[in-house]
Amino acid sequence: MNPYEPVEGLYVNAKQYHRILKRREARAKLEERLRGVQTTKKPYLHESRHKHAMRRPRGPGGRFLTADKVSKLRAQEAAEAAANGGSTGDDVNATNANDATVPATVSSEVTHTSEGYADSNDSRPSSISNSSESPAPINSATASMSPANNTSGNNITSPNVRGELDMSGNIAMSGGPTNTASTSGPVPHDMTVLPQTDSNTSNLMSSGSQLGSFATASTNGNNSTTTTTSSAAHPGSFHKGTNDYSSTLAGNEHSAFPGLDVYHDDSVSAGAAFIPHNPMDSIDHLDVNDPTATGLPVLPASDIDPLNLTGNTQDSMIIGQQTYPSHGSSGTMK
Amino acid sequence: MSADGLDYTNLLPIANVARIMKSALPENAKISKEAKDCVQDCVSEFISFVTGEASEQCTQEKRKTITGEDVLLALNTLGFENYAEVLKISLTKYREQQARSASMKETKQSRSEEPQ
Repeated sequence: MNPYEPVEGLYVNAKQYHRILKRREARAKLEERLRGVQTTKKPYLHESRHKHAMRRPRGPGGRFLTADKVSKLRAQEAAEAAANGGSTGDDVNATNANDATVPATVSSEVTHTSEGYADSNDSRPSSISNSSESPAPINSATASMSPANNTSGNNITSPNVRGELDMSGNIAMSGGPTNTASTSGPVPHDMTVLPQTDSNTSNLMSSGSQLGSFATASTNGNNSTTTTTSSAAHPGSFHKGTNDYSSTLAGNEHSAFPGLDVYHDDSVSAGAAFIPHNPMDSIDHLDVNDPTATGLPVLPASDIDPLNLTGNTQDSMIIGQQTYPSHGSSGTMK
Repeated sequence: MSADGLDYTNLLPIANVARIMKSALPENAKISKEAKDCVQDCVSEFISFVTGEASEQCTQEKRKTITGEDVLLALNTLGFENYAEVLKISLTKYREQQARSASMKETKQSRSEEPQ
């Protein structure tokens, strides 16, 4: 090729010619490395931050709850514990109330608020049911359940727990006349419990599982059976369901440490429920990285190289098809 | 930084770049996202450009640590004499500040030892 033939090129400072070529090679090498890494990019940058975010309580739609809301929830739980504190029977009732709170926490905040009234309704039938049910294994199993309920992992597993509770609700329906005869809720309680049923129904439909659809049918049956006492029967069914769930766990384990076994089951189910929670992980990822967004791509090799920023138009060369290298500050003009 | 400790993008944090850009503007001025991204790329590339030259000079002289003089020499070699002059003044002031803080540290240490 004729070296004196005019070619299209970019004039740069002769002093920078050598470094520009080296930077091009370095950028190309970095680009290749990036191309390999991006295929296996992680959904988050820091493991510890990811774990912390997963422990935070979330509201409806998956957004994090603010500090005020978290403190309100904790104060409400403390108030419920103080109100139910006292005799052994009341402790069992408090534990059952904690179990009943699991679906409410996930469904909506309004449901969590109405759960307080549901607990007060539960306290009335428990005065009768506790007289016939007080085995030690059930007490230990339910007592160990309470710390597990406090973790957000248990909230993630709530679809399975709610399905079981609702299935056992059918068993509770067989005792419907007894509950109706013994319990009669006031008007305000009736008004507040109904939204809970609606939110549970919508949440079950959103889950899209067969158990969910079956539970929805049973819930609708409860509503259609009796208009005046349906709100009273619903908390009763939760109460019975909780007892059956606890007794089932205790019966299946048959071990000297039922608490540890129950905790193990919760951890396993929490891991299993990680998959449907994936969209929230991406939301969390965005939240964590918004303050310092540094995920920008690197300049491609074809970008324009830096020009003579100092404005000193010393000897310059053509970059393009030049074959002979530059010698320090001396260069050949075209 | 990435999870495995390597920063593949080799880019400065965009929040710091935006703060430096904002310090040179009036308070009511606004900077678009594209402008911040563009300056972030330019600044990061310039740092790699100068550091590569300084590193090559250190390699030729069988040294492993890049010092302030190496950076100044690299700027002169690449034709950024004006920048080198300004940075030389900044380097002098930085060293004076380092010496002053060291002397203050010695004073505090002597004062703490005095009651004993």
